This record gives sequence, structure tokens and C-alpha cells, in this order.
Amino acid sequence: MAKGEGKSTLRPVNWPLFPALAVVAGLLMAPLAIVLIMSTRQAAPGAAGGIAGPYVFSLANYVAFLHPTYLRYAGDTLWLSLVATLISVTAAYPIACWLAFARKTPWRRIVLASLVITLYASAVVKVYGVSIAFGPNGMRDWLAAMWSVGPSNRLVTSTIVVIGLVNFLAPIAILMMVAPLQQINPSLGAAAQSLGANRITAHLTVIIPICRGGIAQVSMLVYAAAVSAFVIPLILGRGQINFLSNLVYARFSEVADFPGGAALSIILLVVTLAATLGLGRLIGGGHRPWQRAAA
Amino acid sequence: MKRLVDNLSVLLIGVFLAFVMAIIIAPFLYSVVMSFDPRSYLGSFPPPGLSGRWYAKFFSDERYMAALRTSLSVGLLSSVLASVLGALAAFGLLQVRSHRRRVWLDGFLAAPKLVPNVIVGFALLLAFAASGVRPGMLALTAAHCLITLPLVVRSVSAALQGIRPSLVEAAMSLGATRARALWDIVVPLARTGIVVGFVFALAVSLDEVAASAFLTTTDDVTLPVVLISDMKANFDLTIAAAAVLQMAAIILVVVVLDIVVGLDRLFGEGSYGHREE
Repeated sequence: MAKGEGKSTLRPVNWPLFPALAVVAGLLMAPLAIVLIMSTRQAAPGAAGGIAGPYVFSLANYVAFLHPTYLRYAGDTLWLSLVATLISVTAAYPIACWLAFARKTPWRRIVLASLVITLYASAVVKVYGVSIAFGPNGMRDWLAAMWSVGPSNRLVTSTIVVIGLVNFLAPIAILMMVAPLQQINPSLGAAAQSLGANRITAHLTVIIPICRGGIAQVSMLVYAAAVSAFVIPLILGRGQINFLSNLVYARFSEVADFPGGAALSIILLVVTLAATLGLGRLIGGGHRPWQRAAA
Repeated sequence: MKRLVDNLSVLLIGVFLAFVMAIIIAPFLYSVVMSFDPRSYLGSFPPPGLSGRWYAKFFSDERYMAALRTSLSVGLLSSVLASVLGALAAFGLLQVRSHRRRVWLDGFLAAPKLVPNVIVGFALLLAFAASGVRPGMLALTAAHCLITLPLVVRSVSAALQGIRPSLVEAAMSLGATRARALWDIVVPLARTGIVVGFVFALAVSLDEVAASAFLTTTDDVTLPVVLISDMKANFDLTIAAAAVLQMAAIILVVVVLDIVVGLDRLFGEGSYGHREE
């Protein structure tokens, strides 16, 4: 923005911002503050909402989380999300390259349109599709044979959750990755190849280093979306695999333990924000992550 | 040698991509084909024939129809609200001169996008309980408006990029009032962004489960929440029919968007993409 523009004779009008700011403050920030306070209350099983009488500060809800059972849920959440993110981002790179550099043929338009359709297709549709495609009458037995275990083994369920996550994340990863790749002059890759690099080396030594920041940010956003997935582990995990998000909901729907649910929410929030803001900034990249927080 | 390495690596990458594409596409095909299954139990794939019975069942089931009505009311109401508030906010952001301040305000408005929807739902449940708002239509609409607001702000901001305040000042120096200048210059330029934001907000709202699950009642429950709870309970293929109908609606919207706006303007434009002025 040029400096001279600041010298306008007009007073800037700020009021159009206020309603939206009020909505975010009133419906997000204030409720989150309530969650934070709730997470430090004492839990009382049996009471309404599981809340003990007057407010007494306690970290018991967070300490309870250190139990091995909970750590295992956290481990499932982080690990399965990581596997699904790596698969999605790796597959997204070549497809996004093609979308970014290919000429605008009808074929490219069809692929772009199908990706946008899968991106905005209902998560309910996706989860249902995966659950019958890899259900008892579907390809579940193949997966069981692949791991050489029984069909209801945890390993098979984990694989199906990862498949569900990839089904959900890959279109997001592809469409988000097109933008950073398009900032690159396509003749750079050709130049590297004409100087003797093979295709893979050209990408590894020229293109990927240039858009490293963009790729890192896409990965972080995809990881954050995976960690906060709700429907996918709820349906495909069949009770064997639970993500932190499912535990938060169970604290409301099954055991009415609001302080416990609040502590879990804060933990999940910290994990997601670390993925989107902190780590993305650490690895680098010019854009602020939220500017690309699509889907 | 270089040729050989090229071909081998392309083959390996091709196999990997084929797997991932299969993961993206196969579940859709399964849903579509199974929704026409004539059998009354969940049998093996592919079904022995075709029938429309699950679609008929979906439309004759009062529970699904009521949920569909709730979904559409909440979706339309919340996305209209989010579009108005989001477009206003994007206009407001344009007026903020300090870059630093604009980045902060932009980040603040994007915050609902960064918080997992489960937490949004849980936080709103606690806040509404504390302030006496019952779960139901109002609570659902408020939640969906909050969740979709950043989508509209982003798409309108993108459409407004490149409009300098000097354009408005030029109009005003030619005699237009400030409101007239904004209405005549800025609003037409932002129209595409507002329409796109509204459509995406509606799509997100019609599909929202994680936050809505906290705020529904037995009377006011949205369609995806009903479908998900049915999915946990049984293997009724009516769910497949409902899912396919939902997808058909999305395909329609995407095709219309492509014709009206052009998908390349929404996804996949960059410094070396074509630039039209």
C-alpha cells in the first residue's frame, strides 16, 4: 500500500466491521472463555452437567487426561492424522503440479470440477461411502488379509479411518496446493531438465525448494483439519478408534461431564492452533495461514 | 539412463496416485450404486438389479422431511446473515489504513475457521445455557452463521482486492455522496464474491454436524445430524439415497458456479496463470 494513500481527506468508515466483530466476540471468544473457566471447575459425577457446586479452581480435569487410556486416544488422533496427511499431501503435489502447469484443456476443467465437487460434497456422503465400500460386504476383508489379521482387528479399523481421512483431505490438499505452485514460472522445471536433471530431480531440487513454505502451510492446514475431524472417526472408528473430538462430544451426550469436556476441548484447541499457526510459521512461508484456510 | 529413471519414477508415482484417486472416487461410486439396490438387506456389491425404493422411502419419511426443512431454514437464514455481515466486514477491512491493524482484524474474523467445530458447538452450548438460550433453530442458526462468516469475508475480500480507496474518492470528487460511491463502485465489483461466499456458506451449513450435534432438539434437528445418528444405528440404504441427493445438489451448484463465475477464478489462478483485466 502506497504511503500517499494515507493522506486522504476522508475519514475512514469503520462501522461495517462492527457487526461481524461482535458476532465473533460474542459467539466465539466469550463462549471459549466460558469453556476455559469450566475446564478448571471441579467435576462432580451425578450433578447436573457434572459440575460441582460453587467455583473452586482445580486442574484435576487436565491431570485426569494423563491417564494411559486418554493418552492412547490422543496418540490415535495425532498419529492417524499424520499418516493421512502425509499420504494426502504427497499425492496432492503431482496432481496440483499438473493443474497448475497444464494447458487449459476440457480434460483439465473436468478434473478441476470433479475435485471441487468432492471438496464440497457432503462429509456424510463421503463417510457413508467409505463405510459401505470398506464394510463387511465391501473391501474390509481385503484389508484384513493385507495386514493378515481378523476383520475386526484394530489395525483394520485404523486403516479404514485413514482411508476416510484421505478421502476427505486429498481434494482439500490438491486445491490448496495449486496456488503456491502457480507462483512459480513453469519454465524453471523445463530449464532444469534441459540442464540434465531428470523429472524427479528437477522437482526435488528446483520446484519444491521454491514453494517449500506454501507446501508446509498446506500440510499444516490439512493436518489441523484431520485432527479436528469428527464424523469420520465417529462412524468409521466403530467405537474402536476415537479422536479427541469424539471424546468431547461423548462428555456431552453420554456422561454429562462438562468440566471434563471443557478440558478436552482446550487440549484439542491447543493442538489444532499449534498445527495451524505455530508450526506453519516456524517452517516458513510468506502468507498468513488463515488467508488460505479454505474448506 | 535419464529416460529410464524418468519412466520408472513416473510409473511408481502413477501407481500411488491411482490408489489415492481410488480412495477419493470409489466411496462415491459405492454410495450411488448401492442407493439403487432393490434388496431390503445390505447385500454384497454390486446389487443384482436397480430400483428407486430408497428414494421413495426417503421422500415419504416424515422424520427426514422435517429434518430437511429444518436444514434448509437454518442454512438459508444463516448464510444470508453471514453474507450480509461478511460483506460489510470486508468493506470495513478495505477502509482500515494501517496494514498491521488490518492483518489483526482479518485474523480475528478468521478465528471461527481455526477452531474445530466440535469446540464451537460445545462452547456455544455452555454459553447459551448460561444466558438462557435454549437449543433449537435460533442456536443452530447462530452457530452456522458464526462458522460460515469467515468464508464470506474471505471471498468478498478476494473480490475487493485491487479496488483502491482512491476509486471511491474519485467518484466523490465528481459529486457522488459516500454511500452512492460505495453502492455504485464497490458493490458491483464485490457481487461475485458475495454470491460465491453465500453459495459456499450454504453448502457448509447444509453439511454441518460437529457443532450442530450439541444444539439440536428432538423437534429441531438438521438432516446431516439425523443421517449420522441413523448411520450409527443401522444399515438402512435410505441414508445412501439421501446422501446421493445431497451430492446431486452440490454437483448442480458447482456446474452453475463454473458457468457463471468460472472455477479457475475460485481455484487455481496465480502469477503465471492467465490474468484478465
